[in-house]
Amino acid sequence: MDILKVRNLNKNFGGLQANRDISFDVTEGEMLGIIGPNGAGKTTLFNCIAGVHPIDSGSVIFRGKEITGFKSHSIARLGLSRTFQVYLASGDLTVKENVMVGCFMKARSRSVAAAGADEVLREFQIAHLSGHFVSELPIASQRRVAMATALATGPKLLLLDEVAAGLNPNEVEEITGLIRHIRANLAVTVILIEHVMEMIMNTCHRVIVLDYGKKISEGDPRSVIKDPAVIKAYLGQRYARQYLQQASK
Amino acid sequence: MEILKNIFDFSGSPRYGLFAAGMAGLVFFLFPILPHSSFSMSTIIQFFMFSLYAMGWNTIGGFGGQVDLGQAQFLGIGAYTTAVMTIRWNTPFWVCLPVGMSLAVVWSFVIGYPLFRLRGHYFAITSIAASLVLKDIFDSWSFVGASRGLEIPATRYSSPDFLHLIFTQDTYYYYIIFAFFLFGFFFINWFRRSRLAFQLRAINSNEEVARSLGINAQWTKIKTYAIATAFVSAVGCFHACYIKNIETEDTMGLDISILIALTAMLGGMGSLWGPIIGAGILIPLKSYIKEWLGARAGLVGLDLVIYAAIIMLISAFEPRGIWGIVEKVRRRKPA
Repeated sequence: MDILKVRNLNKNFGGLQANRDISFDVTEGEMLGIIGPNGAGKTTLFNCIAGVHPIDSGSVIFRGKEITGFKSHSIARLGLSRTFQVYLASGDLTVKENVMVGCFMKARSRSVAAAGADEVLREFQIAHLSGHFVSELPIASQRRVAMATALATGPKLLLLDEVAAGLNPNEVEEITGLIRHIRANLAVTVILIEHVMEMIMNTCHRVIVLDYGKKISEGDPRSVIKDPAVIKAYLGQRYARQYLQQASK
Repeated sequence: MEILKNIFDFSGSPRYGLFAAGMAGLVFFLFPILPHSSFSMSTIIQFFMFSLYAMGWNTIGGFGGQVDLGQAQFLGIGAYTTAVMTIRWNTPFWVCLPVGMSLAVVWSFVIGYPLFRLRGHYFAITSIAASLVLKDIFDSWSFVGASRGLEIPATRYSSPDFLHLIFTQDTYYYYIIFAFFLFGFFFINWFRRSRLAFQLRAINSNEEVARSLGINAQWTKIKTYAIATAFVSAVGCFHACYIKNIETEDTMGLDISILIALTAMLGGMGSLWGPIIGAGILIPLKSYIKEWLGARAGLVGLDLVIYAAIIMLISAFEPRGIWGIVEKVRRRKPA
């Protein structure tokens, strides 16, 4: 069953066509990667799906329901959660309080939210950080908190915007494992925007490539990195060969 | 009974602080039977009133980060409703209180809807404008006495009149506002751990992230604004019976809005104790400056200079106010 359908989505900022006629489907339980050069419209696409930006034309259907034009908080309540590329952590909220805000989307009382937050914190192996302010933590832990908070709302579909950016290879591996774990154990469908190709190759079932706001390729990761259009727009010859070698090992 | 438990849950506060607060509460309770001047009595009544104003402001301004500089309009609505109803229809205070609060809350919804479409400085400026427009309307509206204001004829009632809240002795006013204060205090202690407070703090830290977590930011702010309004207008109703002479300048002026916000900012935004600490510093200061200036007419406006200096000091050194400093010290040496 398709959990998300995007049809002919268009978004312009003034004269800039950020998303042009983008269509794709996401199957339930799938892990979909979105790649493309900087400025290709990946984050805009997330913002359009999640209701941050109103779209100019096209439609977004989530779990069989048309959500085009919905406000972002209503979309979140339907079970679509996301993280932000630049996560502006607050100095005032501790890690646990942050996750509790996510739990409070459904929970009415504090004890329910606190219990839910404890569970999510354990799941993300950050229970020992629960009393720290988010702004005090290293970037990898902040990303975990952001993901934990998004997941605390109990979503069906999770949009992750460059959760591995700026992390060292060890941390990338850890967070990759975490995302796999989420998808497998919590029955959450995941779409991720990522520049770290190892992560895309290792986790995604399918990849969409954007360039200048247009979808230029779609398919399983191995065939996408062989696509001449993708190599030209994004990967470059050298990297494509390298990833192909890795993939064939 | 989770609500009851949360109302009396002070687990986040230091033990010596709670002890000091308990002792202060005891002193306040016994104060009227101790030897005191009428000046200190009225100062403490003012302290309770401004603590409550600042507690109300702190919900939307501190937890929610929406710097509102128009709270005086709600004070005015409460005060004028009580004055008009008492003078014209001889209505008991305990009827004026819910009516005044309801009118103020309705008005807060009316202006809250457009106001909370704005953010940051634009919100602050517009809140000032809304308050001043209402003040101008009251200044020229003959039903509420226009610029002459209203006066509750105290001689009509034989003191102590608990129904209309007319007393000749300040002691009665003292205990009534003290009861209001305790009620407000425990309400905020519940509020700060409520779902609403968490959502407000999330909005304060990053509104876009808050929305993505299913929080309807606009509606959350409007709801909180109603709570702030209820606090301020309730004390406004009390103000009418206590001062008896109601003028727009004393109830709806910009300096009052600023003083309310400043009280919470100085003490510490988004904390339980901040508004009380702020009022404990600013109100005696205000009273003494006023006494002192009474003899020196040339120095009128000095209090505004001092407030301005305090605002600059807070924003430059510790945006979270005095309670922010306390928290910092506590975090540095973990218990």
